[in-house]
Amino acid sequence: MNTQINAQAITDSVTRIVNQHLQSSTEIKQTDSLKERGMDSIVCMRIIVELENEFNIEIEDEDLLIENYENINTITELMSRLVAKI
Amino acid sequence: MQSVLLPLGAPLSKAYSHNAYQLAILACKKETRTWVFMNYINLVSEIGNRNDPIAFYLPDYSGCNWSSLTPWFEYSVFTRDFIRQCNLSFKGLVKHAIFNQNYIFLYVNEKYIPGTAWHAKGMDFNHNLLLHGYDEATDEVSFLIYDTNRSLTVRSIPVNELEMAFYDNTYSCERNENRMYFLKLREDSNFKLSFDLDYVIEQLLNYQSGKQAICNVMDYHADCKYSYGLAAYDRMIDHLNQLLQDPVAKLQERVIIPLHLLMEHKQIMVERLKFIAELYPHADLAAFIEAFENLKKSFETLRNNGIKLELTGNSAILSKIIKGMVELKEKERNVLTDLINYLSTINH
Repeated sequence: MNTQINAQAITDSVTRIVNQHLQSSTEIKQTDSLKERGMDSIVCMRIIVELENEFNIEIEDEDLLIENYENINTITELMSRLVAKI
Repeated sequence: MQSVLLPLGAPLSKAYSHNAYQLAILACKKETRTWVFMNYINLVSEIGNRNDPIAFYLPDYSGCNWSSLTPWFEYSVFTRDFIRQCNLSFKGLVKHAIFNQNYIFLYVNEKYIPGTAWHAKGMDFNHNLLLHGYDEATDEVSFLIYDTNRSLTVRSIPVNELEMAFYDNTYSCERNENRMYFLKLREDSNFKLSFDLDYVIEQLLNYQSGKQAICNVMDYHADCKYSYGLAAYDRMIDHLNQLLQDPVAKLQERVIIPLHLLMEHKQIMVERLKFIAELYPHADLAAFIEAFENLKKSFETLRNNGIKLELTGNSAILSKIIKGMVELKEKERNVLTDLINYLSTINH
């Protein structure tokens, strides 16, 4: 599996999980503000728990603040970083 | 036909409704900041109260640990019994009070309030509301309430539904809950509450050393003991250790909301220090503001771990929260020592 495919797979999974939990009538784009799409701390933690299960990782405390989950791109970057550590 | 919607601002604390409602009204008047920042300092924990293990210590005149009142409110109080015995019109009371700029704090049965979890389940649930609007054309009353996601929202329902919620309600603490408070923000331009830094320092000392600021007769009741300030953290830690044995139920009330309150307590300290920096331009509080911002973030992380605990049931998260509480208590104690010393120098 090359790095490019892995990166795309991470983006696809993050996009799917975020859209599923925010239940927006229109698809959420990569740079859309998730806060403006209704993400609060409870929804953010639901997304985090699902991302942990999806990628079989544990998100550390320093990455548990909602400010780290600004949009799909920032979450994808975080997941890529954490998956690379496995 | 008259329609009135009294203003509400963004409250500095939303963990508990009685604080949130009070602060939402006070947020509409900048002059109230002196009172807010001279208070909301000390914390209290009632030993054995597992459902609300920690709260802001804002005692009333009678020994109760909290009050919906502040010097900024002119207020009147009617009990439900009095309203009933005098055959007063509930609708008339609500309408005229709001038309005369009074917010109304009262307890209702949320079974009658559409949009709440208790309405959906058809279950009795006694809780408080803040009424702030009335539309005579529709006879609907507007109020502030937590929705099913625990976000504070403004809702409206017909006043006759609210009347049923008010009368068909069983109280858990009749002394407090059998009351309808009519709260009006003071308009008297001569009323001033100056900021007293010595008073803040005294309260910070009380908070740090775990003392109560006001003698409270309830403290001497044999069956009811309290801890204050940083000592309340120890009670909270005991309470979390107990949960390790019995982690199943009510995690929102027992873990998430208390940690959210501690996060807000640090955020209020940040705002307080920014306010003091405005009043004392020669003071350099930047390092203290940063320290409390970091403490706030740390408590936010613990709160988020609490939400993860509720979602996953993983008790290892609870152990992590306990460890975090122990560490943060000591970190905060050290910051407070430096802060109290520094504030004492800028005031004299």
